Amino acid sequence: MIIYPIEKIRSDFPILNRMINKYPLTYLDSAASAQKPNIVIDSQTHYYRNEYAAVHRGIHTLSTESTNQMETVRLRIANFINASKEEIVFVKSTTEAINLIANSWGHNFVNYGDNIIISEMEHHANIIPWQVLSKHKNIVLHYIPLTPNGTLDISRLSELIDNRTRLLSISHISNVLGTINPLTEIISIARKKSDTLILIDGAQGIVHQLVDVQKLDCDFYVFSGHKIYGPSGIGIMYGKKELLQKMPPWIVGGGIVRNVSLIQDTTFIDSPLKFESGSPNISGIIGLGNAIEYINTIGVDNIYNYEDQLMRYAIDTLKKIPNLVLYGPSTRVGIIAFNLGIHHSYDVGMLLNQYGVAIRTGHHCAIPIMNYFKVPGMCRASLAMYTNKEDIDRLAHGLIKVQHLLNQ
Amino acid sequence: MINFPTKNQLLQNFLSCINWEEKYIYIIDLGKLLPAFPENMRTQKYLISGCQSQTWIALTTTSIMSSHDKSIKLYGYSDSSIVKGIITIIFSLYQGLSLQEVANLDVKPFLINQLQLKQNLSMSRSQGIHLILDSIQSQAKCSM
Repeated sequence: MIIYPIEKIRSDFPILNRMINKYPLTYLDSAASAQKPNIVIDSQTHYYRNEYAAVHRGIHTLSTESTNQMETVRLRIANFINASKEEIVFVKSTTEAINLIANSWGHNFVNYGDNIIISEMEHHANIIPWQVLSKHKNIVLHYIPLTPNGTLDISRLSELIDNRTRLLSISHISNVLGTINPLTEIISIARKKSDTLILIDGAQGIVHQLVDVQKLDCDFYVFSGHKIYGPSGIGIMYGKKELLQKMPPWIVGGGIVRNVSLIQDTTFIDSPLKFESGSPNISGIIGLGNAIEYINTIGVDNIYNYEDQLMRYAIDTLKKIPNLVLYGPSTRVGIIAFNLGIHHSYDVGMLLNQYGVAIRTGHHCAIPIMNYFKVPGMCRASLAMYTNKEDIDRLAHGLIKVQHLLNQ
Repeated sequence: MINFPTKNQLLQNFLSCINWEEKYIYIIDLGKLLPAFPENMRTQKYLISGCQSQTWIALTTTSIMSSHDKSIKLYGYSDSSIVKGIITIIFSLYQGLSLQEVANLDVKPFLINQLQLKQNLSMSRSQGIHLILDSIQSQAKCSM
């Protein structure tokens, strides 16, 4: 068995040395945004100091180097999820990727009488673009319902899906409950019943599980760089090549045209570049490339096994705290949702912060899940590759102290 | 609002807290002084949208005899114990004032500089106590 180099990994993330309110930082909010290793931070500074130039246009050395770096990262990301280079589009976030699909594919290939299926566990980024499209196109939006243990009622999918279903858009891992959706089963049901497209929101999935878009046989897979130890403001939209070719660009402008005439129509270049108008976030792309390289060095499987063990430890530890209510299934990845008795998640989070423990509180941009569980909010502690047992112990001790304070 | 502490009492009690835990226990205790929020006011109109907790703030007025000004009554509720306490602190600062005085008073300097509630006041858009202050101010101005 390979020993997981947790101390070395923690030393690669400089922010973990910080003190918050005189306590060592216990960062358990990685599902919102993961911290960055030195290689990601340093690569951005290095790029701006030594290599910066506009990409895809210049003929000079710096521009060529920048372009090469950007395209190397595209290939690295393609390899990371077993796609081809032409299928990787740089966007700014998961949210932008979903909006791109809704506005490009949705506005052109969905018509009155069609329907789209999402699920009750989606976060707002995978609900609102489809609500807006449904209103605009006068189509029906169905959702796969949640069950009390925080999984989806997959049996309902067969009833919902029909030959007018144009899209099934579903998260890989719930950002509130940590539920891993059985994508293989879901996609196989969908493929048997209709020729619907399948979009996987991988915002939480990509960081905790090995993703192979070909094995999955999804049409789109989208994720954000900042949750996978990369910079903010960079995201990825994977789309099957034939599909991307059919889709028109959404945000249009410079950098994506073959020819522009003021009299005749504009013609666009091929995907993926036709979806990347304007100047891209080059340093973000380079940083994301380094984040992927860092993950590859540690090994996705190693990270997964380590996080799995740590999650078991976390659940066992939290279960010992009186009145703590856990939400979600017994098997979960990366995320633990809970409430501390009757106490509001805001109070719990505010007080934990005083002990240097950072968690997320509130509705987590997934109000339908809160409505399902009939709570105004939840506390969410999320794990990452750099989280250790001491973090979990500090959370548990903090929660016991917080409960004591709130029970006064 | 007769149960609410005065500005000086608030300050003294805050200063006598030996650590942040005591300070928060005091804030949570203050929240228990809030009178029940009238059920008929638990409407969208008084809900502070954007608060991480469900918080309602309502301001009503009555005319003061022989004066053009009006006196105010404040009602508040939050499902967060900490927010409830801060509402009590804010209401304490407004107690006994006329509508005109409420509209003109900025309590932020006292909350930030003297009670040092900066952390609670400058949180993100979804948690800001300043939303409560804005609501009181805008309701006061609408009632003038």
